[in-house]
Amino acid sequence: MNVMAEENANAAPAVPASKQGNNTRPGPDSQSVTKRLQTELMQLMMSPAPGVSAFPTSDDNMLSWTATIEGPEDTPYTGLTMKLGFEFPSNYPYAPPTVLFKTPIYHPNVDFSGRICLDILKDKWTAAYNTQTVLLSLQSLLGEPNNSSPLNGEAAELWDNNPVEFQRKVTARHKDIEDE
Amino acid sequence: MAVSKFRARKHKVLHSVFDAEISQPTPLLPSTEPGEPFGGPPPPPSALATDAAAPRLHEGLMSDQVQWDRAWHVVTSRIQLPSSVAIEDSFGTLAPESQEHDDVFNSAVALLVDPRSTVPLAPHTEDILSWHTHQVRQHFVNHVLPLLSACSSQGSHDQALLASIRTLEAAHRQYLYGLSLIVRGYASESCAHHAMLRFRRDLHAIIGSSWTSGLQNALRQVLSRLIVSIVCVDGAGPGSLQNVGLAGEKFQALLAEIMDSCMQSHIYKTYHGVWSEPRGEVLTAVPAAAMLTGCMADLREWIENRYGQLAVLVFNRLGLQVAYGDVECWKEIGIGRLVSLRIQELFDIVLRWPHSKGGANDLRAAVTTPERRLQLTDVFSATLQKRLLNPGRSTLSILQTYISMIRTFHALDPSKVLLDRVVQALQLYLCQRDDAIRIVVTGLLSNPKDLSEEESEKRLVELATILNDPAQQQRRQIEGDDADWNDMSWIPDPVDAGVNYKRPKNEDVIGTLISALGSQEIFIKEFQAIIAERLLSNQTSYQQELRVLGLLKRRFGEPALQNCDVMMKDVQDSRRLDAILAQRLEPTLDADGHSLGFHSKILSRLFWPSMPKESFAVPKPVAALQEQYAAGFERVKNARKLNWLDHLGLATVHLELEDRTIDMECRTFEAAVIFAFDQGSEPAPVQKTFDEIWLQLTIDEDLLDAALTFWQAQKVLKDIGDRTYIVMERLDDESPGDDPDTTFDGSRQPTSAHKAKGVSAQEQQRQAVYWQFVVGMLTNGGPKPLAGILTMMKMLIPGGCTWSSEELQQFMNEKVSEGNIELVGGKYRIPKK
Repeated sequence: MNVMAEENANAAPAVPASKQGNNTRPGPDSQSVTKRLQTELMQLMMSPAPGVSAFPTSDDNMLSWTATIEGPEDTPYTGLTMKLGFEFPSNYPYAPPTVLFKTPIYHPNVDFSGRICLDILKDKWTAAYNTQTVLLSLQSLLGEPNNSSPLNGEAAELWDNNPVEFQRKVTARHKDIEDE
Repeated sequence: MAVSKFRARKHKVLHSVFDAEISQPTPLLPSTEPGEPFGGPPPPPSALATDAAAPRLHEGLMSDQVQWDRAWHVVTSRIQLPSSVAIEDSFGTLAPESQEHDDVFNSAVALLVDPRSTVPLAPHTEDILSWHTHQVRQHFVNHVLPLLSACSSQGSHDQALLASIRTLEAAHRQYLYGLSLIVRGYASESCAHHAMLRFRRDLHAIIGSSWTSGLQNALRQVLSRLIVSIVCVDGAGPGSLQNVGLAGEKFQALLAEIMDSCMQSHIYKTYHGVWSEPRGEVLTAVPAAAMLTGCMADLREWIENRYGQLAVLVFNRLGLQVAYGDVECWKEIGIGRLVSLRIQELFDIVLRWPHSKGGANDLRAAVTTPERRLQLTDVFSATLQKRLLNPGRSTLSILQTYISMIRTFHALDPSKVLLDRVVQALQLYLCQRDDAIRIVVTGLLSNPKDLSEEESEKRLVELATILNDPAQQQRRQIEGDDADWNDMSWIPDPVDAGVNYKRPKNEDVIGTLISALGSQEIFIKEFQAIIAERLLSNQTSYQQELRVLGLLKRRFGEPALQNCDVMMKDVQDSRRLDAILAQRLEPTLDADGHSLGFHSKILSRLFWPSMPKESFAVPKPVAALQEQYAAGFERVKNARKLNWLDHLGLATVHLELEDRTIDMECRTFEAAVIFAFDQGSEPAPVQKTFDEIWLQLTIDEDLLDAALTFWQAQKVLKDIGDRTYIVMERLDDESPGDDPDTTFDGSRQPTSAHKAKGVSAQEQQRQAVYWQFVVGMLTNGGPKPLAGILTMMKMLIPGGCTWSSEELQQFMNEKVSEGNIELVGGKYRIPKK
């Protein structure tokens, strides 16, 4: 009787534990997110696209990045530099990152707290996108706002009707955020 | 009522403990007729009243008391000590002894000494001896002590000591005189002796407890001097001290202290830095426990014959005995001291090896317990840190010291346990020295016979010597056997050996050294780079390289060094192949009718360290030869192609200038550059700008720069400003001091060109990537300090960042000076546009 009990006790911990360990993580684990982001970072570094760049905010959290976009030529944003924050979900790239403008920006598709209305960051997201493509999309969004679904109605209207006033508002709102 | 009772009781208690009330000598009264009672104490009125009933008895009492009092007076007035002191050695003169006086005195003393039988009825008697003792005590404190302290503050220690002794002797004379007078009264000899002893003991106790610090100092100095010079044979010091009561416990402690420091200083003076082996003793391979080396035997003898005898002598004077075991004990102590000294000196012993063998032998014989071994390694590690492992020491001298360490410690402890313990810090430190491996490898490959004195100082020629030493190689072969049953010098492993301890068979300097240089891969890589360099040089024989390769193979195994094997084989093969191919070349003549020769070394690319291709336009005649050669090769080796590394290699150049001809060997790119100045028989000196040559040859700028510098140093080219170069057809063209560049030292570092280029391709790529990281980080994350940048890079770059903080610092400094980055308040940032 005793012997039996002991055997059971000895055998018990090992097997189910390992099974559980595998089952508790549905889909890609955090390791694979980190690895994916590391690859993306390396790509960004090896073949940087002009006018955009991104980098992890701190060395201990790969899931939070800071990005920089330079305002494209021949747009009201020429010569301005915008900072953005990227928060990657743990099932990235199967879900889009949350992207916010850190720099105050006056734009039809960005509200005053920096939230962005861009389809590829919402329902049009696919795993084929990456940080660099998102940044390039955002850069082009600066030059070509989508005025059919504005977050900032006034801006959409001014963009269409009064470019001078729009430019004034952009310059007035823009403020370089000082880094810590 | 209660209060007075309590006070009385307290008084009683006090008296029973401190016999403080001591009667003074009776005042001197006008002399009385002998026998007539003089003014005795008047009977107390109460006694008169109460004792009226027994007058007889009272009368008897009275007469006894009177008798006693008289005797007391006689004696005390005689032996009373003088109250004032004039000179230190006499406390007043002793009273003259007259016969008549003596009779009176003697009877008085006899009466006082035994009051019970002589004056049984006297109610008030006292012990004359304790009275005297007390008087002596007071006298000593009041008069002698001040004198003693005066003495001890005198100038020299000798004087102080002598004066003190004299003072005490005088005091003794005085005190003992009184005593001897009292003792006369004792009837029996033994009683007298007993009283005498008691008095002496009391007196010495008083003196013994009244050492002044000055006296102590003086005595210490004098004694130690006496003992050190060992002239103390007549025993003047201790003897007289004993007589005056200075030989108490304090003296013994002092003596012990002095003897102790005497031994220490003797050991230090005699053996410090003396590592010789007197009597030219040859060390046997078998370390016998009892075997004592030079200094040890010497020390033992010294302790036994000199030190010990002195101690015996002194102790005899003091009336004490020295046991034989004590001498043995002293020997042990002495050897312990010697060992401590040697341990302190171990680093110097290492430095002066092998001239310091004796010192190491001392250590070997004495360092036997784990505690001492631990002490040895601890002390040595500390010294090592302090004296060797600092930036001021060159890598070469560290390595040399390390070699000496290996040998010293091998002599000290063939098991290598000690060495392993001290060597870790050194190994860690060596890993920081990038040039360590290179120095070791070049040392291994150098030929001690070929080098001049001066050069051999700059290299680790010792290694080559060791490598060629047949003894080293022979012994290696036994290695591998687990147990050598014929090994008569076998001893068990040391107790403090580690778990995975494996007994080494011999010194194995090279092996130990190599293992200290970090991982095997790094070493082999460096070895490969160096051997590649040497194989590509025009040296004819590679014996030394082969030998080193063989050694390394034994150490690291064949597979690890396969590349080097192939490299060797490449060079040997290509020599044969080259002979065939060169024969097949069509004889080519250059413009002036000199024939051109062409030879090559054919390397298997995969097995050689990566050598970047720096191509440039090879001079046409040479290019033609190259083509023929390559075609020949393709025919011999089926369809395998040659890939030319134009910038590696040597060319023999023949230059005909107006006033001179120059024949010299130079590197190929240098030859190509000077060939660019060849304009046939044009009379005017040829002049070209840097950019012209650069375009013409499509050569790497750094190489071109190096070549131009080389030719300037050879006084063939001259920089006439604005990066324009002209051929110096005549040496006297040069006005002295005209061109500071020509003062270049002609000798270049033969390795530098290759080395710098070899690194740069990889390194440049890496730098580019790192730069992107830095830019990305600073653009998005804002300004960061150097340390922050480094941690980020180490975390984020796949495979980690290979740079040290210094390298990054240097890189950033470059970027700052290029204006790509700013350093503001200790943080780097991207400059604002």
